[in-house]
Amino acid sequence: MAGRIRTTKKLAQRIDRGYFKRLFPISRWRRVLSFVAVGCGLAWLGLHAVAHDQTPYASGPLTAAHAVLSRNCASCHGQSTALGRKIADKACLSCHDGPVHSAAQTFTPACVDCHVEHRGAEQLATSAGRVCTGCHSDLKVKAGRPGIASNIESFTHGHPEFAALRAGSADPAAIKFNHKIHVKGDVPLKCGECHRPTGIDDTWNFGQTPPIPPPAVAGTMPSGRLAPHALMQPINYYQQCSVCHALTFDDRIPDAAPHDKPEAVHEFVSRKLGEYIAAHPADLGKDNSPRSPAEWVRFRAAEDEKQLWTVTCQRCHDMQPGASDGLPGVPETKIVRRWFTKAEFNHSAHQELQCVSCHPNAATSVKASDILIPGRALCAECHGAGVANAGADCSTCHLYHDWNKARPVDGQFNIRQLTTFDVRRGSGALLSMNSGGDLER
Amino acid sequence: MRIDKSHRPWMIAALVVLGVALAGYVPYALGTRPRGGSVPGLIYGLAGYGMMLFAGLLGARKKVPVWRLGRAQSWMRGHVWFGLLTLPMILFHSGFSFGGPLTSLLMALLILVFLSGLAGAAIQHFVPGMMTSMVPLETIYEQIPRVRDQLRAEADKLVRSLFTVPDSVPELTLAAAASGPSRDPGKSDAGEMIEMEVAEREYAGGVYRDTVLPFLRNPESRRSVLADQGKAETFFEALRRKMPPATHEVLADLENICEEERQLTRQRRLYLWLHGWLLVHVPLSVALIVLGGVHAVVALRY
Amino acid sequence: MKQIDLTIDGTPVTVAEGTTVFDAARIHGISIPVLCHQQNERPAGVCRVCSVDCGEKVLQASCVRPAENGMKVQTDSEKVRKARRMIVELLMSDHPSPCARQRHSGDCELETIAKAEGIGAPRFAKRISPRGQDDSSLVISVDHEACILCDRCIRGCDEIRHNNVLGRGGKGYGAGIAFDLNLPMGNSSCVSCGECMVSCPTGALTNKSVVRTVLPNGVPVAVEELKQLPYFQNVSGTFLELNANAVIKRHFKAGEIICREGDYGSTAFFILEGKVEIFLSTPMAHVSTDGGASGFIRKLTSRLTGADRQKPDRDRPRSISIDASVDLAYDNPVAELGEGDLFGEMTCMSMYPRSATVRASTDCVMLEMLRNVLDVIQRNKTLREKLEANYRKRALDDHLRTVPLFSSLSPEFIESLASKAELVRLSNGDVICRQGEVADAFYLVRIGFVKITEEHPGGDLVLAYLGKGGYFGEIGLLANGLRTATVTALDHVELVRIDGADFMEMLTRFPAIARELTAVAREREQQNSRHMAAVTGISLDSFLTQGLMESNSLLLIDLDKCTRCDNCVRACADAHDGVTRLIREGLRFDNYLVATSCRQCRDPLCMVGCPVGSIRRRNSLEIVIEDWCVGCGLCAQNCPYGNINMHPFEVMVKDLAQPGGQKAVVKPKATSCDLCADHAEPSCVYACPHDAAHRVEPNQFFKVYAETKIAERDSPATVRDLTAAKQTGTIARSPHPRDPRSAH
Repeated sequence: MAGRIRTTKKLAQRIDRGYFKRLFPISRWRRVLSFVAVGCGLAWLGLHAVAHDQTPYASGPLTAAHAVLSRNCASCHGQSTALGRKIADKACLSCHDGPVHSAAQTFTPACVDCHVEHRGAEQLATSAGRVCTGCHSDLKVKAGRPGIASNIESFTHGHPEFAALRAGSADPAAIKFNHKIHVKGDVPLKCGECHRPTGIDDTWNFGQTPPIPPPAVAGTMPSGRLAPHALMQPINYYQQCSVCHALTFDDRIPDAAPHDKPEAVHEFVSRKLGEYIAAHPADLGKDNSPRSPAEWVRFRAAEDEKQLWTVTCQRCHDMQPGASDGLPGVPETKIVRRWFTKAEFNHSAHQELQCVSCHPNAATSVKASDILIPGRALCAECHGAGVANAGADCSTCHLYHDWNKARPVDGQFNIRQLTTFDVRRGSGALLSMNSGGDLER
Repeated sequence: MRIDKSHRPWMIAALVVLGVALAGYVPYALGTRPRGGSVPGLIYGLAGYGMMLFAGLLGARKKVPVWRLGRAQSWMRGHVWFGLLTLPMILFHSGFSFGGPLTSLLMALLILVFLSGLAGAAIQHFVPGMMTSMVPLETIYEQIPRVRDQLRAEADKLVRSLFTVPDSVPELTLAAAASGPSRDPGKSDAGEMIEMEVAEREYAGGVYRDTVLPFLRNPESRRSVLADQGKAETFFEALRRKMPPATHEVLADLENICEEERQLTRQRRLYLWLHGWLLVHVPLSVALIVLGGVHAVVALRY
Repeated sequence: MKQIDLTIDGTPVTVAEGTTVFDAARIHGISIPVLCHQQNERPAGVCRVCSVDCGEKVLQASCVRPAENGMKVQTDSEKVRKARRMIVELLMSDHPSPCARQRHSGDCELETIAKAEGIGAPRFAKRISPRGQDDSSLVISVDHEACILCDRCIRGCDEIRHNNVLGRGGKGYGAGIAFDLNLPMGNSSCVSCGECMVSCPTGALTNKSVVRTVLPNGVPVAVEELKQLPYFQNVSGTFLELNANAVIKRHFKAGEIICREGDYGSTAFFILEGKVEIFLSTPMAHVSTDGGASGFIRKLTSRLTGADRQKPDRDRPRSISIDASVDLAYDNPVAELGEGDLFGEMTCMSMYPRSATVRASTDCVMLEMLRNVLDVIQRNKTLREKLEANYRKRALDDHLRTVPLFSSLSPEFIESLASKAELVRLSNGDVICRQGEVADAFYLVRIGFVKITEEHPGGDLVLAYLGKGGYFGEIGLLANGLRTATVTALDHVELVRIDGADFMEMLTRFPAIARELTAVAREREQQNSRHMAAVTGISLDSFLTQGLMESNSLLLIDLDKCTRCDNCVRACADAHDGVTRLIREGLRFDNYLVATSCRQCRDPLCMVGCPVGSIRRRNSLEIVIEDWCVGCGLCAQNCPYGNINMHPFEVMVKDLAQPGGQKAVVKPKATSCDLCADHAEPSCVYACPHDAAHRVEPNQFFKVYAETKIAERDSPATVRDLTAAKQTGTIARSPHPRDPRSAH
């Protein structure tokens, strides 16, 4: 015996020559698993299809506001099958108003150019800065090229200085106020004791709730889109000033005059004096005063009002000479409530900062006409380019639509229409309803 | 398959395509927010899906090996390198986001397919060499059970010269019949008994029945002494010392048969590595292609 | 002469003295059945079938019993008939009835007599020890089983032809006829005259119907005409008649092409009249460029790679060995052959492609013959001597000069060397010299391959194998007079042997050569040790033992790349009606699997014996099996590598029960790789996704392979083969394919 000799022939003859025609476990499992995998996938889609749910096909989750439309693609997507087509503006405008951006714009972009859906629950209103700079880096308006801000690449490149701080701009307010005295004077005040964000209704240290509504303040943008606590509450005499600067006018009368128009003050002063003399007739004629109560009142009022008009009011207001009725005029104060007319600043987003780090001149300003908002450069110290900075996207500060031109939307759907999708009505149900107005109301 | 120098042209081609795609993607992604539905997005999507289809067609190509559709080798290399490109293409298509449920599923599938493919490429790069060196007595995987039957029959025939084997072992006679043509014509079936003492004969028979035969019947079991190479050597060494020199050749053959059995076990394990990953790769990629098609149709419709 | 009177079966008969009873009866029209006796041979009286009753105690064999005066002979009495029937029955009990002869021509003498005597199935047990068959001769097949030991063949060989090849061998049940010292017939000194076959009364010696093909384009030669040629004079006429189709006479006009180089054929030519021109028609430039790019691109690549592929001129042989008794000069590859020359031997014997183109330069007449006839005349001593003389005269000079060392020798010395040189013919497996023996000669390879091995504890290591034009033996002669390696013939090898004494004389006369030879010997020794180092890493040995160099084309699977996906097998099955002709199993060579798929052997053993000639070689090398395969399975059996397999096919045959109808029958047919000849690339290679399967030309491939391995050895590479061998336990080894014992 010569050992086990392996020869090609012997080896080959051990093999069943038809073996490869049979399916062996690995190949069989490969086949089975392929069917299972495809089957699972299709079953998943099929179950959703049976439930009239098209959610799986979404290219991404809808924003929370639109999530209710997830089950029905056709809510927004029209029937057109052209490649690369966009959602028609009509689809958006059936629920939303989209005021124009600028009267001078040369074209109107489609809604979806800026508002990209299927990106999850983010703010649909927020859109990337490059959407803006696409036009604003080389801005053309109907009249050609604007003189300013025509090459904005980003907040740090090409963005102009804020309008309020540009040369030639001035504070329109007609009021006298010395920040320095209030901050560093005999009664040093903290910023927050006078300046407080909107929406915080706490008791004030130096005043009380006004008996009359505060007057309208100029420069407010009726956007209604600012976050709560975004702006500072307007300075209100009763809340911030009245404790120190009480409008008392006569030693005999403890009450202070109202912070109101001269006519109201005159009426108040006259009424108070009348009440006083009626209670104290002994004072008639005292110190060379008239003997008749009416005369006394007129006399005393003239005295007191003179004090008021020339000293007390004059401290803050530039009182104007009296007209025919002898009462002076008070110029409109025109205190600027929002310096940014085209942008929004949110104080509460910056609440961790000391006030003076952004408003360094507030402590030394002696004139009310000093504009104390920080410049663009100061903002850019944080809001620069790059990842290590706070965002410098356009939408951080700016709005696109001119909400001053907003019109109210007339709602057209009932809840069922939005939340359920009836396949028998066809995939274009909502859109056709929008356009045709054939509603089941 | 070995990834070697001959892959360089494919690698360069893949890198060039990737470079072109990347060169297109960067300005596109900087300019706007990338979407699958934009024109560049669609181009990337179609390119990616096309590559997936091409990669998937390798399976179909293998079904018609004789058609002159280009060498299978080229298909394989295309599969590997363009398969690698699908992931960047689809990422460019999606703008690196997972999207909705279906697209997330697709992305997950793609990543799994991609990873299993990478693993497979690595496995198929290294394991064949291991198999070559670790299993010199390799045979065709599918035929291992058959070969084992024949080995058992061979062992059975070998030991006939040592002691009388009852002929009523049905499975052995069956296997012997199957191995008919490979029977060595020089050896007569009955064989001549090697002369030895009766005690030795009985001892050999006992050892064969108690140790060798159970191992040959169930060679994958790890419990047998013969399942371990070192132990088997010791075992046969001891056996040889007990048996007369005339039997040593038969014993050596028997030992060799056991070695072959062990190698076949090793081959089975390595083979499972070599092809097991396909159990993940293939089903998932089929699902990926089908669902990707659904995605494409639905996405283009809306 | 004295006349004798006797009575045979009651008839008075008169014959000359010394006449045997058998002859006496025959002269007078009484025929006595006989087996061992033939008219033209000396009687032997061994079969006893011709036993007659001469009125004596025992029956006498009439063929040897001389007639005597007054003898009363009974040839057909009850007693004689009973005895004869017993003898015939005993003979028949060992006879493989019907024997080959009975099957072919129905005239086995033993079976004819048995039939005449009405003997059915013998009552006696058959001989238990089989005597076997001998198929080694090309022309005669020997079935010792059918031999009745009548000795007719022995007498034919010895007494009629005086070849003295046949004799008796063995004892008892093992007794039988023997060639020479009981060699296989093909290896014996038998001259294939056919006399024994003609003499044989049974199917023990039968004409091999190897080639039934009728050679086209020629006139069959009448036996008488052949017998007039000196080379056929000693050949049995009957035998020539049996092989009449295997030799034809062809007339060629001047300028006609007789055969073309590169063609495959199976015939040799013998020039009866006229002259032929023998030349290489392929342009020589083709040989030297060695493929690859040409012109500008070649310049570019050689500049880029820094290596010029041009081989040094020194290696270029000065002459080209061809399949005839001349060599062609390299610079002018034309030679002339004339009357009495033989060419195409190698093509005919070993199925090698034609090595040169032959054109008739005058009108000429040739005998074209198949290998059985060639074998007959090659074994003819006269012709053999003449051919050797021709070779010595024409080619040896050139041959010796191919050895670079000898190129400077003076012509006279070469001539003297040539006259002393001896031509040695060896067949596969013969050992030319053994390591450690005393070196006594220097050899030059004329035809075939030899293997040079060195013995090591662990097995032989193959150092090199040399083909045509290679030389060996000088190291042993120069060093210490002992052979440093063993040289074995790998196939039909012809060597030129220069005796050691002549060699040494040359060295003393030409000291320059001695110096150069010593240098060469040293270089070769170094190369050997380098090789040896390489061989421990790769086993060139298994390359040879697996018979890889025998093939023209191998399907190799790089196991480091192959993922065992079986795509090749599927592709093969797809290309061949669902039947694979490739099995991904076989022996390994280093990291290559030599897959079981036709190797297009240089010597296609499979073709030998196809009864219908359906397995043949196409011009583009591949072996194809034609549709008319009868499914005998001989080729599958002959293939040493298991590359031909029988596969059942459904075929339509005539339905005998239903005239005109057809029915499907499953018939086995042989299948073998056809290299997908209709395509540019075999399907298996084409379908391999991993670049693992390759069809390669083994010598070219492994040459490159070995070079890279040697290069790798110098760098620290892992030698996987060693660990592999350790694990295998058995060394992959197969008996050499040409070994007749392994072929069956």
